[in-house]
Amino acid sequence: MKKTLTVISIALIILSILFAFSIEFLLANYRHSVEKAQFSDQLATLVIERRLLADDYLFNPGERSKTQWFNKYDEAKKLLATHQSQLLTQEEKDLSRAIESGMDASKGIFTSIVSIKEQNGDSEAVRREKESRLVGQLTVKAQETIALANQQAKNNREKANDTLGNVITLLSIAAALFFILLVGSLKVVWQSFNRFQKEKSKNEAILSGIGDAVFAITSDRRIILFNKVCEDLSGWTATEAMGKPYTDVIKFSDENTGKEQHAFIDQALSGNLASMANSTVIIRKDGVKIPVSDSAAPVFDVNNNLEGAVVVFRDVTKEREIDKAKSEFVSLASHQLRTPLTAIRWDIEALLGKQAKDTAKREQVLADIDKSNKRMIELVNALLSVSRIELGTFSITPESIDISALIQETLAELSPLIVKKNIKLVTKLPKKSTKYNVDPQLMGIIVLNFLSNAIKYTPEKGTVTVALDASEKGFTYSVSDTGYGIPKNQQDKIFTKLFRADNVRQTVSDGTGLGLYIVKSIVDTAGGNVGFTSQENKGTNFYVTFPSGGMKSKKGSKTLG
Amino acid sequence: MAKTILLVEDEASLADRLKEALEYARYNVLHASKGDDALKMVETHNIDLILLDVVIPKINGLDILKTLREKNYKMPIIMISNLSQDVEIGKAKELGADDYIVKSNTSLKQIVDKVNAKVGTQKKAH
Repeated sequence: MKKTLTVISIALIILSILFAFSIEFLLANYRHSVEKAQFSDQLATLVIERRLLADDYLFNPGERSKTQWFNKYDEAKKLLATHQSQLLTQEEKDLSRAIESGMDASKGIFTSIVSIKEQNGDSEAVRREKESRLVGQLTVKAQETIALANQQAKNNREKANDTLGNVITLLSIAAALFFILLVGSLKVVWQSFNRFQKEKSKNEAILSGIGDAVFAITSDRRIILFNKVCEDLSGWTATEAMGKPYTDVIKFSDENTGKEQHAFIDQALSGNLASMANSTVIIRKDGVKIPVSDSAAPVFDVNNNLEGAVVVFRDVTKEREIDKAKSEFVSLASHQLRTPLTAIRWDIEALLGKQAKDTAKREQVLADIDKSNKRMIELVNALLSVSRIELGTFSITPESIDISALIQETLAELSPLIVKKNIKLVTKLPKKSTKYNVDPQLMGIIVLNFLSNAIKYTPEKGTVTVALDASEKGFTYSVSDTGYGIPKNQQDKIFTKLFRADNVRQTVSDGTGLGLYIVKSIVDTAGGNVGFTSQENKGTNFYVTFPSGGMKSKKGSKTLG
Repeated sequence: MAKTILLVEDEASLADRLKEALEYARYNVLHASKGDDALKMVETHNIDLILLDVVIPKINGLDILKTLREKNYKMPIIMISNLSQDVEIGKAKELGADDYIVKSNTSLKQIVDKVNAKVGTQKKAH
């Protein structure tokens, strides 16, 4: 843009100079022509004056009028001489010479008149007759000369008019050129203004489009920029916030202590990049506290002088909730892992010490160690599954499986336990083939989990009923028992990670609190539905349903279990 | 006369070994696996010291501790738990626990020693 404007300016200057010179030249010509026309007029006037002086002399002959006539003649001659040096064209010169010869002829005639008057030789009648002839000649000459002078004046006036016309044309061209250049430069300026506007609105759009809150302050802490997300998180509008000290608008404080947390901004204003403390919240205009995180950075101008700071932050409510849930899970999981570890430690201590001396006691302690060890292994495996579920890395690879056959295989595995607890098993499985597209491993986890829970949480001599309802619409696998049931006030937590209902925690020690969480995660991901009905001390019925298409497939790097 | 210890622990495998160790050290041991049972026992027995688990059914260990101190029971109470977060430890001390033992980090002998220190050494069995 600058370049274009420079070029236009230089062109304007050069054109101005050229036009000034041309117009000056034309105007000089014009003045010249006007002068020449005036001269011709003067000449004509002199001719007329001389003609009048000649009359005067005729009626009243004397030295005075005679001298005056000759003086006028000399004056005209001199005028003509000055004039002739300025003549340019042949036509002008011819005209001038014609005027001069006319004047000379007049002089000759007037001289003849003078000699007639002074000699007094002729008779009155002859003299009058001569005079009258000469005066006639003089009049004719005067008329001719005046006509010539007028012609000359007219020529020069025309010339002057032509020159003036040229000046006007030139001025018009100049005006047109100036106009074109002016429009051109205005267009350039307008375009660059438009571009600047576009750039500005683009920057504003980018800034307000950023998902994080952004505000900028001067070194005396006044707000000079306040984006949309910042408005949302602070509860202040940009219009309200602009120009105010930021401490009036933005209030960062510590979630736990409630202490003000503005040190990181001070740090930025002293020239260093600084992060918010971990537990920072922003107190919104309406008093609501929102967990936030991020940083403040100093802003320098081109000369590296500190101008202010820009603060970026975002709502981390979700992240902080996840953090809390994570640390709770780690705490719970370590508690669960420590229990069997402690049992084994104390069992071994008992075996090594004097506490368990007799063989029967020692065998009991060894059996306890075995149980705790198995519980540990189960727990570690379940935790691994949980981590794969939460990382989303497990795969679902459906293939055509006979669900009924899978249930029967699992029952065969569990039969020693069923027999040991003297549990009555009722199976309601269809005779026909019940093939559906499911991931065999994941379906195995679901089938086993329901069955082992039912056996685990049903007292001796109870009943466990396994059913498979298969149709074209899909299938429902359900297991009901006559066990301890789930207390009503804890039913909503049954699928929660590491949760175990109060009523079974001390009666059944080998639960991880992870099985149903894993089942629910698998079923939800695979597009099925899982649920239960339960009554404390009466029993529980768990069921899972999949549509006719079976499980939805999912790519992943790991298998569960 | 043998001192009476109330052991509140819901994990059978842990309760068994701890009970045996304390009995071996000649204490009289009462065992409760639920919070409400534990409170009843305190009211009905003369108890010299309580070993109190934190995560137990019905009423948790910290609530039991709070209730007992509010009811002005002054016997030493040692919390035994596998929760080792500063929050629980701090809260237990605040509520008037005499000690806080992280089970997995402590041997049976160490626990017996701590009990001895609080209620006086019992004569060892032969």
